[in-house]
Amino acid sequence: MNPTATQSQTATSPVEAIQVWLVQQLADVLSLDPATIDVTQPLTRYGLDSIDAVTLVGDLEDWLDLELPATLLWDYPTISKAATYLVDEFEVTVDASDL
Amino acid sequence: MNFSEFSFWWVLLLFCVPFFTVRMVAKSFNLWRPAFDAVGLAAMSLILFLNASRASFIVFGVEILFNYFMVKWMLTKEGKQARLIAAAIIIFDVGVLAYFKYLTFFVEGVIGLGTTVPENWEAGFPLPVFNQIPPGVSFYTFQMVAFVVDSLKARRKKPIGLLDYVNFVSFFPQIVAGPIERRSALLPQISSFRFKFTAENWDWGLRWLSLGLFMKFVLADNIAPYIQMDQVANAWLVWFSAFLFTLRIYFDFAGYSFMALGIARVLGVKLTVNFLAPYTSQSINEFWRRWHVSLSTWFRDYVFLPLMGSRKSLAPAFLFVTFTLSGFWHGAAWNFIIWGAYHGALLLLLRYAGRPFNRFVGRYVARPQIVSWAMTFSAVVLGCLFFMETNSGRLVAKIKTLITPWAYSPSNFGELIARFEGGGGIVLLLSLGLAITFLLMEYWAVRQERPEYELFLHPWVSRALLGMTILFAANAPSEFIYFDF
Repeated sequence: MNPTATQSQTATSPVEAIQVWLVQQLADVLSLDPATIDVTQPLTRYGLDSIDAVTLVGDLEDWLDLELPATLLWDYPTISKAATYLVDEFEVTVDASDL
Repeated sequence: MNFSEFSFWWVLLLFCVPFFTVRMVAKSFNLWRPAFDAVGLAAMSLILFLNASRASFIVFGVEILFNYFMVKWMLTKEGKQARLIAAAIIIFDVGVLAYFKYLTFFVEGVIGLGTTVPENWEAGFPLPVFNQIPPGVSFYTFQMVAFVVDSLKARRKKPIGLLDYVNFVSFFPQIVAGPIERRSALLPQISSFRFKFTAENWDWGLRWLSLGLFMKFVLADNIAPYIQMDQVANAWLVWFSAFLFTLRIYFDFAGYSFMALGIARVLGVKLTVNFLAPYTSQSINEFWRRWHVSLSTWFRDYVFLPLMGSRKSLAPAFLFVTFTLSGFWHGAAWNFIIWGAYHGALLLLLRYAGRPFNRFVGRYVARPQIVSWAMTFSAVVLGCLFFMETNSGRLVAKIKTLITPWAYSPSNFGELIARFEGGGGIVLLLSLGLAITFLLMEYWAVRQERPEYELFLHPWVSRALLGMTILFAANAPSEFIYFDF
Protein backbone atom coordinates (compact mmCIF):
# COMPACT_ATOMS: atom_id res chain seq x y z
CA MET A 1 0.00 0.00 0.00
CA ASN A 2 1.17 3.49 -0.74
CA PRO A 3 2.21 5.06 2.58
CA THR A 4 -0.13 7.98 2.02
CA ALA A 5 -3.50 6.42 2.56
CA THR A 6 -5.70 8.26 0.14
CA GLN A 7 -6.90 5.16 -1.64
CA SER A 8 -9.53 4.35 0.95
CA GLN A 9 -11.69 2.29 -1.30
CA THR A 10 -8.91 0.13 -2.71
CA ALA A 11 -8.24 -1.93 0.41
CA THR A 12 -7.67 -5.49 -0.68
CA SER A 13 -6.25 -7.16 2.41
CA PRO A 14 -7.21 -7.05 6.12
CA VAL A 15 -4.08 -5.02 6.88
CA GLU A 16 -5.01 -2.42 4.28
CA ALA A 17 -8.62 -2.37 5.42
CA ILE A 18 -7.59 -1.64 9.01
CA GLN A 19 -5.16 1.01 7.79
CA VAL A 20 -7.90 2.72 5.81
CA TRP A 21 -10.26 2.61 8.80
CA LEU A 22 -7.60 4.05 11.12
CA VAL A 23 -6.74 6.82 8.63
CA GLN A 24 -10.42 7.78 8.43
CA GLN A 25 -10.81 7.78 12.22
CA LEU A 26 -7.64 9.76 12.76
CA ALA A 27 -8.69 12.31 10.15
CA ASP A 28 -12.08 12.67 11.87
CA VAL A 29 -10.67 12.97 15.40
CA LEU A 30 -7.94 15.43 14.52
CA SER A 31 -9.79 17.30 11.73
CA LEU A 32 -7.14 16.41 9.17
CA ASP A 33 -7.23 15.75 5.45
CA PRO A 34 -6.84 11.93 5.12
CA ALA A 35 -4.52 12.53 2.18
CA THR A 36 -1.95 14.09 4.49
CA ILE A 37 -1.75 11.05 6.79
CA ASP A 38 1.23 8.82 6.23
CA VAL A 39 0.61 5.36 7.73
CA THR A 40 4.30 4.86 8.43
CA GLN A 41 4.65 8.00 10.56
CA PRO A 42 4.16 7.98 14.37
CA LEU A 43 0.59 8.90 15.29
CA THR A 44 1.88 11.45 17.80
CA ARG A 45 3.22 13.47 14.87
CA TYR A 46 -0.38 14.30 13.97
CA GLY A 47 -1.15 15.45 17.51
CA LEU A 48 -2.71 12.25 18.85
CA ASP A 49 -2.72 12.45 22.66
CA SER A 50 -3.27 9.82 25.38
CA ILE A 51 -7.02 10.39 25.49
CA ASP A 52 -7.35 10.08 21.69
CA ALA A 53 -5.21 6.94 21.78
CA VAL A 54 -7.38 5.10 24.31
CA THR A 55 -10.59 6.31 22.65
CA LEU A 56 -9.37 5.14 19.25
CA VAL A 57 -8.53 1.70 20.65
CA GLY A 58 -12.04 1.58 22.17
CA ASP A 59 -13.58 2.38 18.78
CA LEU A 60 -11.36 -0.21 17.16
CA GLU A 61 -12.54 -2.80 19.71
CA ASP A 62 -16.16 -2.01 18.84
CA TRP A 63 -15.49 -2.18 15.11
CA LEU A 64 -13.53 -5.45 15.21
CA ASP A 65 -15.53 -6.91 18.12
CA LEU A 66 -12.29 -7.78 19.89
CA GLU A 67 -10.71 -7.05 23.24
CA LEU A 68 -7.49 -5.19 22.51
CA PRO A 69 -4.61 -4.06 24.73
CA ALA A 70 -5.20 -0.47 25.83
CA THR A 71 -1.54 0.29 25.07
CA LEU A 72 -1.92 -0.82 21.42
CA LEU A 73 -1.15 2.57 19.89
CA TRP A 74 1.86 3.10 22.19
CA ASP A 75 3.26 -0.36 21.53
CA TYR A 76 2.60 -0.05 17.79
CA PRO A 77 2.84 3.70 17.24
CA THR A 78 2.14 3.89 13.50
CA ILE A 79 -1.00 2.92 11.60
CA SER A 80 1.01 0.46 9.56
CA LYS A 81 2.50 -1.30 12.61
CA ALA A 82 -0.82 -1.39 14.49
CA ALA A 83 -2.67 -2.87 11.50
CA THR A 84 -0.02 -5.51 10.90
CA TYR A 85 -0.01 -6.45 14.59
CA LEU A 86 -3.80 -6.81 14.67
CA VAL A 87 -3.83 -9.12 11.67
CA ASP A 88 -0.85 -11.18 12.84
CA GLU A 89 -1.89 -11.46 16.47
CA PHE A 90 -5.70 -11.69 16.23
CA GLU A 91 -6.01 -13.05 12.70
CA VAL A 92 -8.45 -10.25 11.97
CA THR A 93 -10.49 -10.51 8.82
CA VAL A 94 -12.29 -7.42 7.60
CA ASP A 95 -14.85 -7.13 4.87
CA ALA A 96 -14.16 -4.12 2.64
CA SER A 97 -17.87 -3.28 2.84
CA ASP A 98 -17.43 -2.64 6.58
CA LEU A 99 -15.34 0.42 5.82
CA MET B 1 23.57 4.64 44.32
CA ASN B 2 25.12 8.03 44.55
CA PHE B 3 27.60 8.11 41.69
CA SER B 4 28.95 11.45 42.90
CA GLU B 5 30.05 9.96 46.23
CA PHE B 6 33.59 8.74 46.53
CA SER B 7 32.46 5.83 48.71
CA PHE B 8 30.38 4.36 45.85
CA TRP B 9 33.40 4.04 43.56
CA TRP B 10 35.66 2.95 46.42
CA VAL B 11 33.34 0.11 47.54
CA LEU B 12 32.84 -0.88 43.89
CA LEU B 13 36.60 -1.11 43.43
CA LEU B 14 37.10 -2.97 46.71
CA PHE B 15 34.58 -5.55 45.57
CA CYS B 16 35.57 -5.78 41.92
CA VAL B 17 39.34 -6.23 42.28
CA PRO B 18 39.23 -9.40 44.42
CA PHE B 19 36.07 -10.75 42.79
CA PHE B 20 37.28 -10.49 39.21
CA THR B 21 40.78 -11.65 40.14
CA VAL B 22 39.32 -14.82 41.66
CA ARG B 23 37.03 -15.17 38.65
CA MET B 24 39.93 -14.90 36.21
CA VAL B 25 42.10 -17.36 38.11
CA ALA B 26 39.23 -19.81 38.61
CA LYS B 27 38.37 -19.61 34.93
CA SER B 28 41.94 -20.44 33.96
CA PHE B 29 41.70 -23.61 36.09
CA ASN B 30 38.22 -24.31 34.74
CA LEU B 31 36.76 -24.03 38.24
CA TRP B 32 34.40 -21.11 37.64
CA ARG B 33 30.73 -21.94 37.30
CA PRO B 34 28.61 -19.53 35.20
CA ALA B 35 26.12 -19.22 38.08
CA PHE B 36 28.84 -17.53 40.16
CA ASP B 37 28.45 -14.45 37.94
CA ALA B 38 24.86 -14.06 39.08
CA VAL B 39 25.91 -14.50 42.72
CA GLY B 40 28.65 -11.90 42.18
CA LEU B 41 26.23 -9.36 40.72
CA ALA B 42 23.77 -9.85 43.58
CA ALA B 43 26.58 -9.47 46.14
CA MET B 44 27.87 -6.35 44.35
CA SER B 45 24.40 -4.75 44.28
CA LEU B 46 23.57 -5.58 47.89
CA ILE B 47 26.94 -4.46 49.28
CA LEU B 48 26.66 -1.15 47.40
CA PHE B 49 23.10 -0.70 48.67
CA LEU B 50 24.20 -1.48 52.24
CA ASN B 51 26.97 1.11 51.86
CA ALA B 52 24.46 3.70 50.61
CA SER B 53 22.02 3.27 53.50
CA ARG B 54 21.85 0.61 56.21
CA ALA B 55 18.30 1.51 57.27
CA SER B 56 17.08 1.34 53.68
CA PHE B 57 18.86 -1.97 53.17
CA ILE B 58 16.86 -3.65 55.94
CA VAL B 59 13.55 -2.36 54.52
CA PHE B 60 14.62 -3.43 51.04
CA GLY B 61 15.64 -6.91 52.25
CA VAL B 62 12.24 -7.49 53.87
CA GLU B 63 10.43 -6.27 50.74
CA ILE B 64 12.49 -8.47 48.42
CA LEU B 65 11.74 -11.63 50.38
CA PHE B 66 8.06 -10.79 50.84
CA ASN B 67 7.58 -9.97 47.16
CA TYR B 68 9.52 -12.97 45.89
CA PHE B 69 7.67 -15.59 47.94
CA MET B 70 4.29 -13.98 47.40
CA VAL B 71 4.79 -13.75 43.61
CA LYS B 72 5.96 -17.35 43.60
CA TRP B 73 2.76 -18.34 45.42
CA MET B 74 0.68 -16.16 43.10
CA LEU B 75 2.08 -17.96 40.05
CA THR B 76 0.76 -21.27 41.37
CA LYS B 77 -2.80 -19.92 41.50
CA GLU B 78 -5.29 -18.93 38.82
CA GLY B 79 -8.03 -16.36 38.36
CA LYS B 80 -9.49 -14.65 41.39
CA GLN B 81 -7.06 -16.22 43.87
CA ALA B 82 -4.06 -14.98 41.88
CA ARG B 83 -5.59 -11.50 41.63
CA LEU B 84 -6.20 -11.41 45.41
CA ILE B 85 -2.59 -12.33 46.13
CA ALA B 86 -1.41 -9.68 43.64
CA ALA B 87 -3.60 -7.09 45.36
CA ALA B 88 -2.17 -8.07 48.77
CA ILE B 89 1.40 -7.67 47.52
CA ILE B 90 0.66 -4.28 45.95
CA ILE B 91 -1.10 -3.04 49.09
CA PHE B 92 1.89 -4.13 51.16
CA ASP B 93 4.41 -2.43 48.82
CA VAL B 94 2.43 0.80 48.56
CA GLY B 95 1.81 0.67 52.33
CA VAL B 96 5.55 0.52 53.02
CA LEU B 97 6.10 3.45 50.64
CA ALA B 98 3.28 5.42 52.26
CA TYR B 99 4.59 4.75 55.76
CA PHE B 100 8.12 5.94 55.05
CA LYS B 101 7.31 8.73 52.62
CA TYR B 102 3.86 10.13 53.35
CA LEU B 103 3.10 9.56 57.04
CA THR B 104 4.45 12.88 58.30
CA PHE B 105 2.81 14.80 55.44
CA PHE B 106 -0.50 13.06 56.03
CA VAL B 107 -0.51 13.91 59.74
CA GLU B 108 0.93 17.43 59.57
CA GLY B 109 -0.04 18.55 56.06
CA VAL B 110 -3.49 16.95 55.67
CA ILE B 111 -4.91 16.29 59.16
CA GLY B 112 -3.13 19.46 60.31
CA LEU B 113 -5.25 21.49 57.88
CA GLY B 114 -8.44 20.77 59.80
CA THR B 115 -7.24 20.31 63.35
CA THR B 116 -4.28 21.17 65.56
CA VAL B 117 -1.70 18.42 65.57
CA PRO B 118 0.47 18.38 68.72
CA GLU B 119 4.11 19.22 67.99
CA ASN B 120 5.36 15.97 69.52
CA TRP B 121 2.77 13.70 67.86
CA GLU B 122 5.59 11.39 66.79
CA ALA B 123 6.21 10.44 70.44
CA GLY B 124 2.67 9.15 70.84
CA PHE B 125 2.55 7.39 67.48
CA PRO B 126 2.63 3.58 67.76
CA LEU B 127 5.31 3.22 65.04
CA PRO B 128 8.65 4.99 64.62
CA VAL B 129 8.38 8.11 62.44
CA PHE B 130 11.14 8.83 59.96
CA ASN B 131 12.14 12.32 58.87
CA GLN B 132 13.97 11.06 55.78
CA ILE B 133 12.75 8.48 53.31
CA PRO B 134 15.02 5.49 52.71
CA PRO B 135 16.93 6.06 49.45
CA GLY B 136 15.42 4.37 46.42
CA VAL B 137 12.16 3.25 48.08
CA SER B 138 10.02 5.20 45.57
CA PHE B 139 11.80 3.66 42.60
CA TYR B 140 12.18 0.04 43.66
CA THR B 141 8.61 -0.05 45.00
CA PHE B 142 7.36 0.87 41.52
CA GLN B 143 9.60 -1.72 39.90
CA MET B 144 8.33 -4.38 42.31
CA VAL B 145 4.68 -3.41 41.76
CA ALA B 146 5.14 -3.52 37.97
CA PHE B 147 6.72 -6.96 38.32
CA VAL B 148 3.70 -8.26 40.25
CA VAL B 149 1.24 -6.96 37.63
CA ASP B 150 3.33 -8.17 34.68
CA SER B 151 3.76 -11.60 36.29
CA LEU B 152 0.01 -11.82 36.87
CA LYS B 153 -0.67 -10.97 33.22
CA ALA B 154 2.12 -13.13 31.78
CA ARG B 155 0.91 -15.82 29.43
CA ARG B 156 3.53 -18.28 30.63
CA LYS B 157 3.55 -18.51 34.41
CA LYS B 158 7.14 -19.64 34.55
CA PRO B 159 8.55 -19.54 38.10
CA ILE B 160 11.53 -17.29 38.69
CA GLY B 161 14.56 -18.12 40.83
CA LEU B 162 15.32 -16.08 43.97
CA LEU B 163 18.75 -15.05 42.69
CA ASP B 164 17.29 -13.78 39.41
CA TYR B 165 14.63 -11.85 41.31
CA VAL B 166 17.22 -10.30 43.65
CA ASN B 167 19.26 -9.21 40.63
CA PHE B 168 16.14 -7.88 38.89
CA VAL B 169 15.10 -5.59 41.75
CA SER B 170 18.49 -4.72 43.19
CA PHE B 171 20.53 -4.12 40.02
CA PHE B 172 22.78 -1.43 41.45
CA PRO B 173 23.06 1.05 38.56
CA GLN B 174 19.33 1.75 38.58
CA ILE B 175 17.93 0.75 41.97
CA VAL B 176 18.05 4.15 43.69
CA ALA B 177 16.86 6.52 40.97
CA GLY B 178 15.74 4.42 38.02
CA PRO B 179 15.17 3.95 35.17
CA ILE B 180 12.21 1.93 36.48
CA GLU B 181 12.60 -1.23 34.45
CA ARG B 182 9.92 -3.70 33.38
CA ARG B 183 9.95 -7.45 33.60
CA SER B 184 9.91 -7.86 29.82
CA ALA B 185 12.89 -5.54 29.30
CA LEU B 186 15.21 -6.36 32.20
CA LEU B 187 14.41 -9.88 33.35
CA PRO B 188 15.63 -11.64 30.17
CA GLN B 189 18.94 -9.78 30.50
CA ILE B 190 19.27 -10.49 34.22
CA SER B 191 18.08 -14.12 34.37
CA SER B 192 21.03 -16.50 34.70
CA PHE B 193 23.20 -13.40 34.56
CA ARG B 194 26.65 -13.50 32.97
CA PHE B 195 29.09 -10.60 32.88
CA LYS B 196 29.65 -9.60 29.26
CA PHE B 197 32.73 -7.40 29.25
CA THR B 198 32.96 -7.10 25.47
CA ALA B 199 34.83 -4.29 23.71
CA GLU B 200 31.50 -3.02 22.37
CA ASN B 201 29.91 -2.91 25.84
CA TRP B 202 32.91 -1.08 27.30
CA ASP B 203 32.91 1.37 24.41
CA TRP B 204 29.20 2.22 24.60
CA GLY B 205 29.16 2.10 28.39
CA LEU B 206 31.96 4.64 28.67
CA ARG B 207 30.30 6.90 26.10
CA TRP B 208 27.05 7.02 28.08
CA LEU B 209 28.99 7.42 31.30
CA SER B 210 30.98 10.37 29.86
CA LEU B 211 27.75 12.03 28.73
CA GLY B 212 26.15 11.54 32.16
CA LEU B 213 29.22 12.81 34.02
CA PHE B 214 29.35 15.93 31.84
CA MET B 215 25.65 16.68 32.30
CA LYS B 216 25.78 16.23 36.07
CA PHE B 217 29.15 17.62 37.13
CA VAL B 218 29.71 20.34 34.53
CA LEU B 219 26.22 21.56 33.64
CA ALA B 220 23.94 20.79 36.61
CA ASP B 221 26.46 21.37 39.39
CA ASN B 222 27.86 24.62 37.96
CA ILE B 223 24.34 26.04 37.59
CA ALA B 224 23.05 24.86 41.00
CA PRO B 225 24.76 27.50 43.23
CA TYR B 226 23.08 30.37 41.35
CA ILE B 227 19.52 29.24 42.08
CA GLN B 228 18.21 31.70 44.66
CA MET B 229 15.34 30.20 46.58
CA ASP B 230 14.89 33.01 49.09
CA GLN B 231 14.13 35.80 46.60
CA VAL B 232 10.38 36.40 46.51
CA ALA B 233 9.79 40.08 45.69
CA ASN B 234 11.67 40.47 42.41
CA ALA B 235 9.78 38.87 39.49
CA TRP B 236 12.89 38.78 37.28
CA LEU B 237 14.81 36.87 39.95
CA VAL B 238 11.94 34.46 40.54
CA TRP B 239 11.73 33.67 36.81
CA PHE B 240 15.49 33.44 36.43
CA SER B 241 15.85 31.06 39.38
CA ALA B 242 13.04 28.90 38.01
CA PHE B 243 14.79 28.91 34.61
CA LEU B 244 18.10 27.86 36.19
CA PHE B 245 16.33 25.14 38.17
CA THR B 246 14.67 23.92 34.94
CA LEU B 247 18.10 23.46 33.39
CA ARG B 248 19.60 21.99 36.54
CA ILE B 249 16.96 19.33 37.15
CA TYR B 250 17.24 18.04 33.58
CA PHE B 251 21.05 17.88 33.55
CA ASP B 252 21.09 16.43 37.05
CA PHE B 253 18.53 13.68 36.57
CA ALA B 254 19.29 12.83 32.94
CA GLY B 255 22.98 12.88 33.86
CA TYR B 256 22.31 10.35 36.62
CA SER B 257 20.20 8.18 34.29
CA PHE B 258 22.90 8.14 31.61
CA MET B 259 25.58 7.24 34.14
CA ALA B 260 23.36 4.33 35.22
CA LEU B 261 22.91 3.39 31.57
CA GLY B 262 26.67 3.47 30.99
CA ILE B 263 27.61 1.42 34.06
CA ALA B 264 24.91 -1.15 33.24
CA ARG B 265 26.12 -1.37 29.65
CA VAL B 266 29.68 -2.12 30.76
CA LEU B 267 28.23 -5.12 32.64
CA GLY B 268 26.33 -6.15 29.52
CA VAL B 269 22.84 -4.85 30.41
CA LYS B 270 20.90 -2.36 28.29
CA LEU B 271 18.67 -0.03 30.32
CA THR B 272 15.87 2.25 29.10
CA VAL B 273 16.96 5.66 27.81
CA ASN B 274 15.02 7.68 30.37
CA PHE B 275 15.23 11.10 28.68
CA LEU B 276 14.81 12.01 25.02
CA ALA B 277 15.82 15.69 24.78
CA PRO B 278 12.68 16.92 26.61
CA TYR B 279 13.41 20.64 26.19
CA THR B 280 13.10 20.39 22.40
CA SER B 281 9.37 19.62 22.83
CA GLN B 282 6.81 21.70 21.01
CA SER B 283 3.89 20.62 23.21
CA ILE B 284 3.32 19.39 26.76
CA ASN B 285 2.28 16.02 25.32
CA GLU B 286 5.61 15.73 23.60
CA PHE B 287 7.39 16.88 26.75
CA TRP B 288 5.92 13.97 28.71
CA ARG B 289 6.96 11.52 26.01
CA ARG B 290 10.53 12.76 26.41
CA TRP B 291 10.80 13.40 30.18
CA HIS B 292 11.46 10.57 32.65
CA VAL B 293 10.16 8.05 30.15
CA SER B 294 10.15 5.04 32.48
CA LEU B 295 8.03 6.87 35.10
CA SER B 296 5.58 8.30 32.55
CA THR B 297 4.97 4.90 30.98
CA TRP B 298 4.69 3.35 34.47
CA PHE B 299 1.89 5.75 35.41
CA ARG B 300 0.24 5.19 32.04
CA ASP B 301 0.27 1.39 32.32
CA TYR B 302 -0.33 0.88 36.05
CA VAL B 303 -2.45 3.89 37.02
CA PHE B 304 -4.11 5.69 34.08
CA LEU B 305 -5.24 2.68 32.03
CA PRO B 306 -6.33 0.42 34.95
CA LEU B 307 -8.13 3.32 36.70
CA MET B 308 -10.00 4.15 33.54
CA GLY B 309 -10.79 0.59 32.49
CA SER B 310 -13.60 0.67 29.98
CA ARG B 311 -14.82 4.14 31.05
CA LYS B 312 -13.08 5.79 28.12
CA SER B 313 -15.43 8.77 28.10
CA LEU B 314 -13.91 9.74 31.45
CA ALA B 315 -10.35 9.58 30.09
CA PRO B 316 -9.70 13.34 30.60
CA ALA B 317 -10.62 13.12 34.30
CA PHE B 318 -8.44 10.05 34.81
CA LEU B 319 -5.57 11.72 32.98
CA PHE B 320 -5.78 14.66 35.38
CA VAL B 321 -5.93 12.35 38.42
CA THR B 322 -2.95 10.36 37.12
CA PHE B 323 -0.81 13.47 36.71
CA THR B 324 -1.77 14.72 40.16
CA LEU B 325 -0.76 11.34 41.64
CA SER B 326 2.46 11.47 39.64
CA GLY B 327 3.20 14.83 41.26
CA PHE B 328 2.51 13.33 44.68
CA TRP B 329 4.94 10.49 43.94
CA HIS B 330 7.70 13.07 43.58
CA GLY B 331 7.35 14.24 47.13
CA ALA B 332 5.14 14.39 50.20
CA ALA B 333 4.32 18.09 49.98
CA TRP B 334 1.58 20.27 48.53
CA ASN B 335 3.87 21.86 45.95
CA PHE B 336 4.41 18.48 44.25
CA ILE B 337 0.68 17.83 44.16
CA ILE B 338 0.15 21.29 42.64
CA TRP B 339 2.92 20.61 40.12
CA GLY B 340 1.29 17.34 39.05
CA ALA B 341 -2.18 18.90 38.82
CA TYR B 342 -0.71 21.83 36.86
CA HIS B 343 0.72 19.47 34.23
CA GLY B 344 -2.53 17.51 34.09
CA ALA B 345 -4.43 20.77 33.57
CA LEU B 346 -1.96 21.85 30.85
CA LEU B 347 -2.56 18.61 28.97
CA LEU B 348 -6.31 19.14 29.08
CA LEU B 349 -5.92 22.79 28.06
CA LEU B 350 -3.80 21.70 25.13
CA ARG B 351 -6.35 19.08 24.17
CA TYR B 352 -9.33 21.40 24.11
CA ALA B 353 -7.76 24.72 23.15
CA GLY B 354 -4.48 23.72 21.52
CA ARG B 355 -5.72 22.85 18.05
CA PRO B 356 -7.77 26.01 17.44
CA PHE B 357 -4.93 28.06 18.93
CA ASN B 358 -2.38 26.42 16.63
CA ARG B 359 -4.59 27.13 13.61
CA PHE B 360 -4.87 30.77 14.72
CA VAL B 361 -1.10 31.13 15.25
CA GLY B 362 -0.41 29.36 11.94
CA ARG B 363 -2.38 32.06 10.13
CA TYR B 364 -0.28 34.94 11.47
CA VAL B 365 3.16 33.49 12.24
CA ALA B 366 5.57 32.21 9.60
CA ARG B 367 7.15 29.59 11.89
CA PRO B 368 4.49 28.58 14.44
CA GLN B 369 6.69 25.78 15.79
CA ILE B 370 8.89 28.45 17.44
CA VAL B 371 5.83 29.85 19.24
CA SER B 372 4.83 26.31 20.27
CA TRP B 373 8.32 25.58 21.61
CA ALA B 374 8.52 28.91 23.51
CA MET B 375 5.10 28.38 25.10
CA THR B 376 5.92 24.79 26.04
CA PHE B 377 9.28 25.69 27.55
CA SER B 378 7.79 28.65 29.47
CA ALA B 379 5.06 26.37 30.85
CA VAL B 380 7.73 23.88 31.97
CA VAL B 381 9.72 26.67 33.67
CA LEU B 382 6.63 27.85 35.53
CA GLY B 383 5.97 24.25 36.54
CA CYS B 384 9.51 24.04 37.89
CA LEU B 385 8.71 26.94 40.20
CA PHE B 386 6.03 24.76 41.84
CA PHE B 387 8.38 21.80 41.87
CA MET B 388 11.40 23.54 43.43
CA GLU B 389 9.59 25.45 46.17
CA THR B 390 8.61 23.12 49.02
CA ASN B 391 7.81 26.05 51.33
CA SER B 392 4.10 26.70 50.65
CA GLY B 393 4.11 30.25 52.04
CA ARG B 394 7.06 31.26 49.90
CA LEU B 395 5.52 29.59 46.85
CA VAL B 396 2.34 31.66 47.24
CA ALA B 397 4.45 34.83 47.68
CA LYS B 398 6.38 34.05 44.49
CA ILE B 399 3.21 33.43 42.48
CA LYS B 400 1.83 36.76 43.74
CA THR B 401 5.05 38.42 42.61
CA LEU B 402 4.80 36.88 39.15
CA ILE B 403 1.32 38.34 38.63
CA THR B 404 2.21 41.77 40.01
CA PRO B 405 3.10 44.11 37.12
CA TRP B 406 5.35 46.45 39.15
CA ALA B 407 7.46 43.48 40.32
CA TYR B 408 8.87 43.61 36.77
CA SER B 409 10.28 47.12 37.26
CA PRO B 410 13.55 48.18 35.57
CA SER B 411 15.16 48.57 39.00
CA ASN B 412 14.33 44.94 39.79
CA PHE B 413 15.89 43.97 36.47
CA GLY B 414 18.97 45.98 37.44
CA GLU B 415 19.09 44.04 40.72
CA LEU B 416 19.05 40.75 38.79
CA ILE B 417 22.03 41.89 36.67
CA ALA B 418 23.89 43.25 39.71
CA ARG B 419 23.59 39.93 41.52
CA PHE B 420 25.58 38.14 38.86
CA GLU B 421 28.32 40.67 38.26
CA GLY B 422 31.93 39.68 38.87
CA GLY B 423 33.68 36.29 38.73
CA GLY B 424 30.62 34.28 39.74
CA GLY B 425 28.67 35.85 36.91
CA ILE B 426 31.27 34.78 34.36
CA VAL B 427 31.11 31.16 35.59
CA LEU B 428 27.33 31.27 35.32
CA LEU B 429 27.52 32.81 31.85
CA LEU B 430 29.94 30.12 30.66
CA SER B 431 27.80 27.37 32.20
CA LEU B 432 24.69 28.77 30.54
CA GLY B 433 26.59 29.03 27.23
CA LEU B 434 27.54 25.34 27.48
CA ALA B 435 24.03 24.34 28.54
CA ILE B 436 22.36 26.20 25.69
CA THR B 437 24.86 24.82 23.15
CA PHE B 438 24.06 21.36 24.51
CA LEU B 439 20.32 21.93 24.06
CA LEU B 440 20.86 23.29 20.53
CA MET B 441 22.77 20.14 19.61
CA GLU B 442 19.85 18.08 20.92
CA TYR B 443 17.49 20.20 18.83
CA TRP B 444 19.61 19.62 15.73
CA ALA B 445 19.45 15.83 16.25
CA VAL B 446 15.67 15.90 16.79
CA ARG B 447 15.17 18.07 13.72
CA GLN B 448 17.26 15.68 11.63
CA GLU B 449 15.17 12.79 13.03
CA ARG B 450 18.30 11.22 14.45
CA PRO B 451 18.68 9.65 17.92
CA GLU B 452 18.54 12.50 20.46
CA TYR B 453 22.02 12.02 21.94
CA GLU B 454 23.76 10.68 18.84
CA LEU B 455 26.10 13.67 18.57
CA PHE B 456 27.24 13.38 22.19
CA LEU B 457 27.85 9.66 21.83
CA HIS B 458 30.20 10.09 18.89
CA PRO B 459 33.59 8.67 20.03
CA TRP B 460 35.46 11.97 19.69
CA VAL B 461 32.70 14.11 21.18
CA SER B 462 32.42 11.65 24.03
CA ARG B 463 36.15 11.97 24.78
CA ALA B 464 35.87 15.75 24.58
CA LEU B 465 33.00 15.65 27.11
CA LEU B 466 35.10 13.55 29.48
CA GLY B 467 38.00 15.99 29.12
CA MET B 468 35.71 18.93 29.79
CA THR B 469 34.31 17.15 32.85
CA ILE B 470 37.83 16.78 34.26
CA LEU B 471 38.56 20.45 33.55
CA PHE B 472 35.28 22.14 34.40
CA ALA B 473 33.52 19.93 36.96
CA ALA B 474 32.11 21.98 39.83
CA ASN B 475 34.31 22.01 42.92
CA ALA B 476 31.44 21.11 45.20
CA PRO B 477 29.09 18.54 43.65
CA SER B 478 25.47 19.02 44.67
CA GLU B 479 23.13 16.23 45.72
CA PHE B 480 21.22 14.35 43.04
CA ILE B 481 17.78 15.96 43.18
CA TYR B 482 15.88 12.71 42.64
CA PHE B 483 17.51 11.04 45.66
CA ASP B 484 15.02 12.93 47.81
CA PHE B 485 12.12 11.24 46.05
